[in-house]
Amino acid sequence: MKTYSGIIKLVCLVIVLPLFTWIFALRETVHLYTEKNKMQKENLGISLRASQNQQQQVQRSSSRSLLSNGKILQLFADSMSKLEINMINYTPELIDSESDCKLYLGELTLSGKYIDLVKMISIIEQAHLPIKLVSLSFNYDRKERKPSSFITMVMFVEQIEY
Amino acid sequence: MGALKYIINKLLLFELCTSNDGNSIKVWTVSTKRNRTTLVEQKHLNLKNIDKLKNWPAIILITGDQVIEKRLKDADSIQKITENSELLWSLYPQMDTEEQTISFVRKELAEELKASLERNNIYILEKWINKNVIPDREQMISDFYKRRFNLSDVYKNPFQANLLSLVVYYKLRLPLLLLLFIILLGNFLLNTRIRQEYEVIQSELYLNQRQSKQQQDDQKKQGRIQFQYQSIPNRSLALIADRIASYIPSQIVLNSLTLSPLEGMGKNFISQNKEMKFNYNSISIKGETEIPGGVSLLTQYLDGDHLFSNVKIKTLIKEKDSSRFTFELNVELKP
Repeated sequence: MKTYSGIIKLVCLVIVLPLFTWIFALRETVHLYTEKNKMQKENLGISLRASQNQQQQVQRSSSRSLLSNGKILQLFADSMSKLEINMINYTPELIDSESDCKLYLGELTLSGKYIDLVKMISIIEQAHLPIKLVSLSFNYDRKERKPSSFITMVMFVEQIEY
Repeated sequence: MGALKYIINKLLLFELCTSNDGNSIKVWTVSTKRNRTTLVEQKHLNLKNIDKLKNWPAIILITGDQVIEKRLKDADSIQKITENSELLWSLYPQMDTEEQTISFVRKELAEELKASLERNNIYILEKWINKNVIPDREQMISDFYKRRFNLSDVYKNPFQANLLSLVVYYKLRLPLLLLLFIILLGNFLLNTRIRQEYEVIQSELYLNQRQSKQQQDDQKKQGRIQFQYQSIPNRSLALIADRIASYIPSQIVLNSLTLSPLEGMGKNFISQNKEMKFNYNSISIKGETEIPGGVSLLTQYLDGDHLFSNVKIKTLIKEKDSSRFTFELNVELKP
């Protein structure tokens, strides 16, 4: 054993000691560093996606709300008066919602001549507003003995508001 | 110069001068720098104070009267000397002849020096025996360094390899340990810093992941509402209403025209119908006429239009005490 003591000492100094330093100290630091970088990249990806979502959210929320606040009536008030259409009733209702996404349904009852009511619908359709016409119902009650030009129209409109 | 020069660039030369009057020891330090070998005699050093030179490699040179030098041709004669365990010897081959010069001396002469060196951990790399009282030390050192050093020598002579390993070990020990200490210290500082950053990023990531999951869940839920909204067909209801009005014969009076009627319609649609379902492809037409043929005419007109399909009379009923008929039509819209 004494014959090889120098070789053993040298091997311990040059190979074993650096190996132990790597195993018990440096390896953990390197592992921690790579893990940190990996998490940093993942974090960056998530933040990027979150900021994109936020941008979309801002864009959505900046689109006008028309049904919940009755602004739709204000928008078409001029057209209605020109076409001699009377507004009888307007009821906005929240029919569905998830977090800040709300689906409103507006029930708008108008009265006037059939042709003018159709014109009114056409004006609404051509205004390209962020709303959708869901349903239309024209009614004329002969028994009420109103003039034949007096037709009521119930219009259902939907809008997603943020 | 060989690899030895790089491994052992400092060594001690102990010169044991033997004479009939007594022996004397001279100590030299040998250092090599850029192919130059320098020998400096250390007059203040003797066997009593060489403990300052612990772990140094050394060469012993024995000269003087006690050294016997012979020129031999015969291999057996040389072998007799080399196999004698009582003798220390050095063999010098001659360049031009087959003769070899062998110098030898009794081992006991160097015993005291050897014991003293071993006691002080001074490793004896070689022993040279030379009759010459004033030997060419530089040449001998230079010849020592010129020797080729390779791994096969290590296998052949483990004792020599062990000595060289010890020399290298003591040469590298301090700088390597110092380097490892610096690395460990740096590693500790770096590790602390990275760990702090890691923990910050980990908590950020955890929060972001939670937020992201929340957003994804919200988006999924919002997707349901958006799907519901997108499923409303983008068709012009004004065009359909106008087209239907154009087909109404003069003998028919319309009471009701509903495009995309709400299922289970009541007076207050919204409050009565919690689950709002519209038949987007359906049209309901209600009216009255005195001539039932008018209704048939209307269904014919509607059937002939590419916007409509599946025109059906749902009811056609004669009113009591009146010549009027009330009717109800169901029309499907082509998708």
